[in-house]
Amino acid sequence: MTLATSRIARPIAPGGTSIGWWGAVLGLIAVGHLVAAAWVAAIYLRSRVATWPPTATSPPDLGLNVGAVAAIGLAAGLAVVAARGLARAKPFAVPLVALAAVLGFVATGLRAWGTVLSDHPIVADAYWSVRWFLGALDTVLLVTATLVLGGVLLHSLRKVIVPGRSDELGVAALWVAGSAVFVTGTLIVQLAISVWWG
Amino acid sequence: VSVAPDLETLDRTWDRRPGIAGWIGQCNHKTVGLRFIVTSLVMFVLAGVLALVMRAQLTVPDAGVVTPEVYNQLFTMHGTLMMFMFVVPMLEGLAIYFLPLQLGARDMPMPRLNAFGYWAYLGGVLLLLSSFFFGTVPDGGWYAYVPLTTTDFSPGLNLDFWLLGVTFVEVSAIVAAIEIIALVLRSRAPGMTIARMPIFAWANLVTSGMILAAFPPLVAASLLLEIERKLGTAFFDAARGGDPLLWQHLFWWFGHPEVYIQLLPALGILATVLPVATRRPLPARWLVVASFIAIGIVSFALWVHHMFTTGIPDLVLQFFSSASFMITVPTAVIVFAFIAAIWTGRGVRWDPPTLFAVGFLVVFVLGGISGVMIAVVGFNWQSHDTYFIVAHFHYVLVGGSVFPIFAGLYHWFPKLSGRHVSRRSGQVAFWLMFVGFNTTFMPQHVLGFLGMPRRVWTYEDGLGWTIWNVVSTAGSGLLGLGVLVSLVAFVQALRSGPVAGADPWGAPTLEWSVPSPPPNENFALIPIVGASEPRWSQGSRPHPAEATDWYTELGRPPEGQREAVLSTVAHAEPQAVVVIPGHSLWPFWLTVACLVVLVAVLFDVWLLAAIGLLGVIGTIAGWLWPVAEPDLRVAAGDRP
Repeated sequence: MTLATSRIARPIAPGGTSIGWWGAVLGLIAVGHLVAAAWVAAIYLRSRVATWPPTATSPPDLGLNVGAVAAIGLAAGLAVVAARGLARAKPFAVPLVALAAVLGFVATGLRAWGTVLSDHPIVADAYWSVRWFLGALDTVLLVTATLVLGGVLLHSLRKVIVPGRSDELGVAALWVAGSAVFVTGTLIVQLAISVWWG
Repeated sequence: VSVAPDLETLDRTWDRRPGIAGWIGQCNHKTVGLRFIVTSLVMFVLAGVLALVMRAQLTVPDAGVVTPEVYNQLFTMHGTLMMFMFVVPMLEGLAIYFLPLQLGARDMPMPRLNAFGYWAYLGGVLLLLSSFFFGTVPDGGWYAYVPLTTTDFSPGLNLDFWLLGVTFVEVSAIVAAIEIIALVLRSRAPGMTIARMPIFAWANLVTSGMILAAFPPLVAASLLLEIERKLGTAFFDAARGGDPLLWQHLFWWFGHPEVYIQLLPALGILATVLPVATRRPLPARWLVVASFIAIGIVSFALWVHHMFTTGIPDLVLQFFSSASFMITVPTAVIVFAFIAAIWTGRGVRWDPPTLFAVGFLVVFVLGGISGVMIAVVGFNWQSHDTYFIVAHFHYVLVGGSVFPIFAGLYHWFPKLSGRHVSRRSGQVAFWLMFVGFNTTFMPQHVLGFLGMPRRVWTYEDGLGWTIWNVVSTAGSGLLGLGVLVSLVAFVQALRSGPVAGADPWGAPTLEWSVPSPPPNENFALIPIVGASEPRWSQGSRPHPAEATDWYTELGRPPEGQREAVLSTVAHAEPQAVVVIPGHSLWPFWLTVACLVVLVAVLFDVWLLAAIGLLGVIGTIAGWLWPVAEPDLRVAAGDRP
């Protein structure tokens, strides 16, 4: 995908979406299948053992996970509103992108704190391996979303993202929204296999 | 207003830049497609040589051509190179080269992503092949089953080379799939509605959708196994709450659709070749397209038939056995359509492409029949891991992919090179390959019935296997000779073959409406399409509103501005003129940065991995760095 190609030199007919938008959608479909494979692996491994978590292990603290989902969900919403605002040259668009980027950073920290940055015994049992892997996957998704928002913020401040002619922010909002959906899905899977099915 | 294009400016604008940087930074679809084709052909030859060494080892009992360890490496690399580094990249290369020409487009819609697809493929290939220099050639089989491939049983770096190299190649395939879908849906020439789209485009559209669904799970599986090997996690360790069968489920979730990912574009090639050979439109065109879609869906419900002997519950066995039978229906529809094309053809031309197409029909149908046999659970249990399975999948894969690929290469070679391949050489090559293939693999069915297991390094005398192995090895020599004749014929044609015109076949699709080889810009004036065989029926015609500014401007760009048309998904109505990049080193540098990360992970140099990761982020940021005003017409004051 290249965002430069999303710039339409000359519209012939109204409507339609840019190539950048198509690239983002197709990329999200691919990433979605990767994430779905991780969910299937987690559910499959849960189905193969009698006790989950293993004996004498407390279930995960889902508070940090829920916080991360809330933060990235809000960031995605703000990015969508900002993209629509930018298309109409509204002055609130750029500050909203900045706020969304900060929320993305917060979401990354919350998700990493409970998994990647913790000292979980990931070699002791598949339970811990799965918890760590899902957390690491979420963290990568959130870091990417935050970098995307940061990049769009930078170029908005440079004033090279032109209202009505370029849709970098729209593509970025789409990517962040997709990431939010995946992270939410992972939370649901973790809830399912840890609490409801635990 | 004149619509006469400025051919000189167009040619310079779409030409590559000079020097090494120009060569590396070239993004044009023809260059990228050709690089895929040539590199994958090299992989094909290499994998074939490995196969010949294996056959030499198995010719007689207790032979000592190679050691058991080397034999394990040979069959692993043969399968890996054929499955991951030859068939899919070759089919992608043909699609990347010829689809824009068939669709009336000037280039892929995201040329830099397209270039990255090739560099990622080359990076994965080099990473995998570098294992030869480190003496750590992968040896766990092309499907790398755990626990054999965990560090307990494969402590060296062999499998790490395999996992990282294959994953990078998979990323390349995903990138190409994204590119092809965007091309087919948004870059068709005005008037080429979805109903008028060439059948090769349909095949690639369905295949690319399958790649987006099937390849990421293999990337996920490879990640899990590599993490298990590097960090000691427990995903696949039954003693620690994991399950080795998880690998098989994830692998075959990818692996079975992969068979059809290799088949469908090949069928698309044959559906392109046969109307030309038989001088008539493909019969039952819409049934064939519907069958492509049906295969694309049903192929995801088959993966467990690779796991019938792993203790799967009876009900599940019945479901996957039934699904395996079911997929024969759409496949048979396509085969019958091809037979009908030849049967009802008007003066069929028995050129090499036609011969390879008929070779497909014979070989693939035989492979399909043995496939139905092993879809029966009871038979499957008996023949599992015997040479019957080896024979079956070679009939399906060589019949279903290699023969059509050669049909496509012979068919499109004049367009690609501007030269004709010797007809006689092509016919000799076909008969050598056809006879050689059947002599190699038909006896392996018998070997399977006699109980010879696959992947054995050698065998004892007196088991009744020797004569069949001798015949099989002799056949493999013929097969190799046939491939060699083809390659020599291609090289000879490139050097001194008769010059081919724009359309030596009288073909119906748009790639034959431009000179051979195609000019840098493909189409100086974008064709307007009115039929599914545009060069046979009403053909491509001038735009009805040819005096419109956008149409005129496309033929007269500012120097260096590559302009292309975006059209609507269903009706291909022109929607916008876009400026697309034509030269970029970012895809190459991104690949280098990725390789730094992969090599650092391979050798546990974590600081270097972190530096490489920063390089990845930096190159992506540089790649996506937007320019303030991409339209030179605005900069020149021609447009507000």
